[in-house]
Amino acid sequence: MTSPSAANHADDTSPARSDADAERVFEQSVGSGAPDAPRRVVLLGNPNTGKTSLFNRLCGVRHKTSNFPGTTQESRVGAPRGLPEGSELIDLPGIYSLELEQSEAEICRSVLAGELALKGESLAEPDAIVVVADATNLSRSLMLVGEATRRGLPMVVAINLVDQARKRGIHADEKVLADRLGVGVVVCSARTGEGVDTLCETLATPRIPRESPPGTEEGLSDWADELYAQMAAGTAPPLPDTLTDRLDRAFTHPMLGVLTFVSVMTGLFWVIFKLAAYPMNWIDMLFGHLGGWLSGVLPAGAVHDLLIDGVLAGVGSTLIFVPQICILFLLISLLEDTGYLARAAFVIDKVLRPFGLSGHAFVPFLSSHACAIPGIIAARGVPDRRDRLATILAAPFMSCTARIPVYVLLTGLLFPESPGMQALAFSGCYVLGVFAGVVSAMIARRTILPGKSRAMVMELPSYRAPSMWNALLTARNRGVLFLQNAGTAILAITMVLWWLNAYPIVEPPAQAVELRERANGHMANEEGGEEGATSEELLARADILEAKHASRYSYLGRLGATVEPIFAPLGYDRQLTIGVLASFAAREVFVSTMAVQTAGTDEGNGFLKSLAVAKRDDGKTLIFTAATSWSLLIYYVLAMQCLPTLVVTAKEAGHWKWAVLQLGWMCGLAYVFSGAVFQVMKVVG
Amino acid sequence: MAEQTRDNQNPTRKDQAGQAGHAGEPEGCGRENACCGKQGSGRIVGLCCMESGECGIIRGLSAAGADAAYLRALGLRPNQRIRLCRANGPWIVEVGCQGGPASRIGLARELAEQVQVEVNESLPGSVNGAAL
Repeated sequence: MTSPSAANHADDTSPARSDADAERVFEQSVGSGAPDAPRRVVLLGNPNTGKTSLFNRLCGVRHKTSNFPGTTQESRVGAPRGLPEGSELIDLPGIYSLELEQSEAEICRSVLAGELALKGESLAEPDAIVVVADATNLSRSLMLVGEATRRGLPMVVAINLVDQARKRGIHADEKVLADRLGVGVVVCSARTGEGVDTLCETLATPRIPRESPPGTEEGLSDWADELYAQMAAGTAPPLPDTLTDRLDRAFTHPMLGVLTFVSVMTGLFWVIFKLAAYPMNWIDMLFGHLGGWLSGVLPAGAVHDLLIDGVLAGVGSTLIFVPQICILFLLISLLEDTGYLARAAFVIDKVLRPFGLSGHAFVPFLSSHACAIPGIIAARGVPDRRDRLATILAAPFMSCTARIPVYVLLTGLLFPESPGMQALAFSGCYVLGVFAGVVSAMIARRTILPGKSRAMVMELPSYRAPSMWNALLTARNRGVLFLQNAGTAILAITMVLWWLNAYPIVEPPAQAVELRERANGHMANEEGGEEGATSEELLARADILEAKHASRYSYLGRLGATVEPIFAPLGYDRQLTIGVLASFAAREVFVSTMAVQTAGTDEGNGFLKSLAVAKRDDGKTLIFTAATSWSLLIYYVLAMQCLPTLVVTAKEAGHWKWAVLQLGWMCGLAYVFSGAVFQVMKVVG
Repeated sequence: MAEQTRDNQNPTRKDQAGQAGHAGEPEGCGRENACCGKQGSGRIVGLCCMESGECGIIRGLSAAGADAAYLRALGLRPNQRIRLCRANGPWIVEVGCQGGPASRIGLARELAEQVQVEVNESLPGSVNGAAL
């Protein structure tokens, strides 16, 4: 493996194959027999062999992410360099063996057999396989090469990571492999680009291998060992990977490992919060300005309201998640590339295992503290299906950023004069969320997802410098995927909620009409009934009264009045019930809804103080007593108040029943505990 | 690497390995660490009983079903040379050791118990063999 050359055998005729096969190879080497059909090449390889990096090198940004029908497994398909227009390269999931009983291996088997294709693609065997082998671990890669040769499809072998192999003094003669199999073998480095051009040229002439290992597992193992021995004959032993040894001693140490883990994850969390805040603010401002501009351009009416309060608000509330998702996956991709994440999973495995979860669940849980949506998407990294489902079900219990405004509001109402107690209650909400999540996962694993959690075993890749280009592509793909999958549903739901909150149109209340008349007639002066109120202030007050009135008599408002008895045991009146119902779209909506509901109560003293003195419909009882505030706090920690999350849960878990279960369990738990807290506090006084 | 080649091509050794892996009673950790504390080359122990830095050759897997298939796919299969890089929580082994390119695998205890290894202290890379 000294130069990026292709060891090819274009002149050879394969003695093990028929003339028809040879003809087929020729046809495939010059182009597809059916001119309309795209040439289909699949990329097959072990995990951590740089397969995705190689895909990025071959296709660049000219690719899309798609799902295999009936699965949540996604794959990337792109237009590779070096192949005719219309050709496609499919990046199959990384697998250790085609024979494993794993969903990834099953997908690879089905694709190679022509029984499965990406959405929108026709069912057909691929025209060629590119098997990506790891130059630093060729003996194991040869096992997969052997399995691929059994498929009898034209293939090319790309021996990747050759730069790292050289650094470690690993050498093997690729010509031996090319001679034995009769296929093109290219040594390359996706990281540096070395050999990629040669690979592109070789891709045009894939050949059916003339040798394949015996059908038994032992036969395959012996074949791979023998082949590797032949390739490596006469070469010096490789240098030990002492850097990985030293780093592993630290990163998996019982104490130092945990400290490193906490530091890395805290840093990750902080960076996501800090960095995402800027683009999120920009998006918020952009949509604010856009709304203002549209408001000025469009005449008042249903179209105006639909576009501004429905479509624009819906698009804005969807796009605002994108920065967090992109930054999260950028950082996770960088961390994964270094090899650290595999070690971190082992460190946390011991903590999560008693709850029926594996160490793989930590990244989804951590991400969920920013937003449950990327957290649930990150659960794709959990290999066991039951562990993955338990992780998805538990992830929304983690306190996301959307809960923060509600926590701030309620802790501020509970402890108005004590910032220390506010901070304590605030932290308690986070602890309660984590505790509820892992206990819920444990219950799920012992009931609906029974069975022992799979013992942790995973490859720990050598430490290496991460690739920013790959990380950026991953972040871009995740963002696009989120918009494609969840964005449309989120937009639709937001618009429905807007309609429920905006209709039917009702006549403005008499008090608002009077205020408008006074403002229009320039009645607001120092001698008037409203001391110091200008016409603008009177109009603003009229707007608030109208909004409050419209909200009360909207479909959602009427629903609130109907549903009020259900929330009465929790201490919520009609106005709080509307706040809770409206925030089913997104938790933070609670704060703005309550602002509208209690508007005009005590405007001179600020929002928090006006809420503290706001009265119920009876005009006597406070809306926010200590008991209702605690009850609400518990409710918002535990309840599933985020429709976009439910949409993503359904997508990622593979069925709506999981989303319904999540909604029912979280809201049920929230109802019982917040109700209990309210009733106890009411009795205690 | 050359040494590994000779091992893999040596039928006598493979036969011995097969016997040890199937018929021989591995001194695995599954039975309350019965093997722990035993010393010397040639003993067959569960991976969880090896000391950090020790090398050996896998002689058998007592794991069954999907776990066994996965371990084999990762490279933990009979006759493969390993070096234990770290013992306990998790067990980290290098498969391939000094004889050839290696991959590093982390295992939980319950899986480490199910890999039987013939310890060979004279193998390069072992704490008692060539220096790391």
